[in-house]
Amino acid sequence: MARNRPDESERWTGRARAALAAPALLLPVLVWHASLARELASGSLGVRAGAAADGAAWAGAIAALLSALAEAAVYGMLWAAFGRRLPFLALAVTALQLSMLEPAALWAGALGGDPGDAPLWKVMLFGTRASGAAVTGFAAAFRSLGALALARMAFWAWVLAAASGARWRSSATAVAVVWLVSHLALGFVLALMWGRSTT
Amino acid sequence: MNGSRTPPRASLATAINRVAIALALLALAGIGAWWWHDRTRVWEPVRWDARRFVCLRAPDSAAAAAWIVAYQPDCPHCRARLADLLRRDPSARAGAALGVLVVDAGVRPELPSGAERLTGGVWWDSLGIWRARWGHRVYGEALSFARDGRLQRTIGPADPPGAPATAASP
Repeated sequence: MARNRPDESERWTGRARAALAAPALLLPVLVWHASLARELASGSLGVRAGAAADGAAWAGAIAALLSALAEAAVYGMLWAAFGRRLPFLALAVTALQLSMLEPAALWAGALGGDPGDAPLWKVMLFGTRASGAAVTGFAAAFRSLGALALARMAFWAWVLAAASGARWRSSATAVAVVWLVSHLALGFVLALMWGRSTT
Repeated sequence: MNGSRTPPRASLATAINRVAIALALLALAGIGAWWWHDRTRVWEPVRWDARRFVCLRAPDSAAAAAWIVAYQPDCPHCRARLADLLRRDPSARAGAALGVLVVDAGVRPELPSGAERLTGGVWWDSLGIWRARWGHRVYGEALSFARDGRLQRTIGPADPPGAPATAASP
C-alpha cells in the first residue's frame, strides 16, 4: 500500500494540473473567438457577417489553439533533441496565453486601418502590419516583426530557460532561430502561393 | 541547455526528435529550392492578346483599355470581387472596360453573373496561360491592360480600384 501512495499522489497532481490547464486554455480561445467575431462583424476582414462569419471566428480561435500546441511541440521537440524534457502542457498554456496579445491588439484597434496611415510608434510596436498595407510573400511573413514580437520572444526565452534550467542566452538563440526559420518557411509558402500576381 | 537530463532509455526519443528536426529542416530546404526555382524561372511577359483566349462574350469595343479580372467559377471570393467591381463607378478604373478571364476551368464555363455588363468581354483561358505562362496565381486580381495590350498594373483581390499601383510583372 505504501508503494501506491506516490502513484496516487502523482495521479491527483496530474488531474489537478489538467483541471487548471483547461480554463487556462479555454479562456484564450474564447478571447480569440470574441475578437475575431468582432472584427468579422465590422467587415474589416472582408467576410460578411452571419453564420459563416461566426464559423470563421471559431475556426480562427481553434487555429490559434492548434498554433499554440504546435509552438509548444516544436520547443519540446527541440529541447528533447538535446536530451532535455520540457513540460508540454505548461508550454502550450504559456504559448496560448502569450498569443492573447494579438486579439488584444486587434481589440485596441492597433492593427489594420488605412494603408500608410499608422504612426511610427505603432509600426515600431506591432511591425508593418499596423499600417494595414497589403503586402505579399516575405514582406507579409515578416510584417509582425516589432517590439511586441521581440518582447514575446524574450519572454519565451525566459520561460524555456526557467523550465529547462538552460541559460537565457541559449534559450533566446533557440527562440530566435525557430522564429526566423518558421517565418522564412511562411515567406516561401506565401511567395509560392502568390507567384507573379504581385511582384 | 542544461536542464534535467533524460535517462539513457530515452536516448531513442532523443534520436527520434533529432530526426524530426532534420526532416523539418530538409522540408524547409525543399520549399526554399522550390521557391528559388519558381523565382528564377523565366516567365512570359504579361500581354493581352485576345486571340489566345476563347471568347465567351465579345467586348463592346475591342480597342479599349481593359481591366481583366482573373475569375474562377468555383471561387466565392471571385464572385464577390466581380460584383464589387461591377458596383463601383467606372471612373475608379479610369474608364477602362471591365472584363473577365475565366481561369483554371477545365471545361467550357458558364458566363458569370452580370456578364451583360462586362464591356471588356468574357474570356476563357483554356490553355492555362494565366497560371503556366504568366505565373499568376491569385484569383480575383485585376490586370489593367492598355489599348495596345501592355500590362499597366495589377490590382490585388482585396485592393480597391483606386489603390496605388502594384508594379506590373515584366
